[in-house]
Amino acid sequence: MSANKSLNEQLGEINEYEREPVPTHAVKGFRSFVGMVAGEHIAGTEFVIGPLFVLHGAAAIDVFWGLLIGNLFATLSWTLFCAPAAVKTRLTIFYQLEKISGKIPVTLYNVVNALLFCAVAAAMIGVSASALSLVLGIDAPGLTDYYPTSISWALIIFLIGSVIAIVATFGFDRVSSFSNLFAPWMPLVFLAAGLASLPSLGVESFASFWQVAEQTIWTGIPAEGQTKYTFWHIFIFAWLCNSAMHLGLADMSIYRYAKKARYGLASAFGMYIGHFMAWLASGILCAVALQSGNVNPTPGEIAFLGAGWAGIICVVVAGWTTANPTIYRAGLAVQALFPRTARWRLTLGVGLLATILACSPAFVAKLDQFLGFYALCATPVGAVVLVDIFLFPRLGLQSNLAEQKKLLINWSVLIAWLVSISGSYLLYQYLEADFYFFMAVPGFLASGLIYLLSAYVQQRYLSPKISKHALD
Amino acid sequence: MRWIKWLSYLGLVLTILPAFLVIAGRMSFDTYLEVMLVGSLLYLLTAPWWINRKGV
Repeated sequence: MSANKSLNEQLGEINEYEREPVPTHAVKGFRSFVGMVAGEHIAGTEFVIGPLFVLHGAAAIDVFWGLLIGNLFATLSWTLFCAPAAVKTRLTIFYQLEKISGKIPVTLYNVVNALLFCAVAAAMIGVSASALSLVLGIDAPGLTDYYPTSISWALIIFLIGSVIAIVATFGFDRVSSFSNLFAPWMPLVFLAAGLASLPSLGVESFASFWQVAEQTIWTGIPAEGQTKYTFWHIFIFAWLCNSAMHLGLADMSIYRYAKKARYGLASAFGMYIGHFMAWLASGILCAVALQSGNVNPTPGEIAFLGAGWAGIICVVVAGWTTANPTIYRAGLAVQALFPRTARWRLTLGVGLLATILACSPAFVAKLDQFLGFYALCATPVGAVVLVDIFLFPRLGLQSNLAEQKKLLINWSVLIAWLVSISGSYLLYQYLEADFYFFMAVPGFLASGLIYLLSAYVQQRYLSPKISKHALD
Repeated sequence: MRWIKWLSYLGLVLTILPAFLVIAGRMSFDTYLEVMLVGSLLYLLTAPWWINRKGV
């Protein structure tokens, strides 16, 4: 880029291929994905989720096996579903869905997606701000607070939110570069904090670790008022907490840049470093906090306890590296709604919205519910897109029907989406399940099956009626 | 620029190594926190100069 060009011109020149396949010259090597996923899945929220297993009385054996197998399933979901779809089409989920479903369903999907991406990014900004507040001695909201505590805290939110939004505005390259910078360092801080805290729990050698793990850390006894987590809770949580990204195909936005579909295996770095090692480390730190009498530690306190000032820097950075790609994805979702507006302007707007939302600590307090609702909406859409891309050509059915027939609504998609969401939610209520995540797989399978059947009927028997909904 | 790269690697070593020394009983927890902070700063101040540049 020429140095004397205006920022506006430079940003305008960044092509993120929102409505065209990523060309061969723009694809990335394996390393780009390792850095990005390793950074993205080591978030400030890992300091929340690890302690969750301790407080819910998960047994040590269930935590280890649940995380080991659950993260394997998550990696396979990226490798066998998301990356192949992304590499075959080289499109974002938003544009691919528009070709399948028509403008109206994809508009609905994009609005829901953008809002939920903003909510998740807001939570990450909030977690980062909580750590920075600890450094500056500013009173930060607790995990159960819904309202900001002071103007100073809101200013910290705006400072962090601005950096995140600006980095995301510069596109995939800058987001990837930012993650690459911190990816080698952050896991080491988590690992060091967990290891160095073990002696205070009574671990004198690696041989005595398992005994302490069973008796002091993951004791199998829930804290007062908490439900009991079993192997299945841990396994399902590890597999499906990012189901919107893998089975829901939201990460097509990222993996469309992959040279080969097997680059989906890069997700293993995010899973086993972020969702295995980091969750175990933060669980150990939680046990240390409980032992010292702090029954409700915040992410910043946990990090400071195990790694001092380096831990505080780690929590701030961990929030950034997760929020960056989230706002980047949200920008792409909004871009699909306003294709004639520059992506960078929309991304900046989305970043600003996430920053404003982050001023309400409710987005941190209710993060699990937002993630559950996101999985509810996104996973069935992934099934529809997978069936359309991979099964329809083999069955002689028309892929990308809305684009081919110029439909505003492909009713098969809308029926599959709404029926599977409603059905899985009713099942969740009927079974009184602890997690909505338990229903993500039934919703995914039901949506794929309903779409297949309804599209078959639509294309074989109702095709003459399709033209009634055609665009001018 | 190669020396900057080695400083970054040294920073990463100083970030993780003290934890093993603590668990082996050869370093106090307070010293671990100080060395770790030095290592982290060393990495974070030197890595931006090379990590995203090709051919370094």
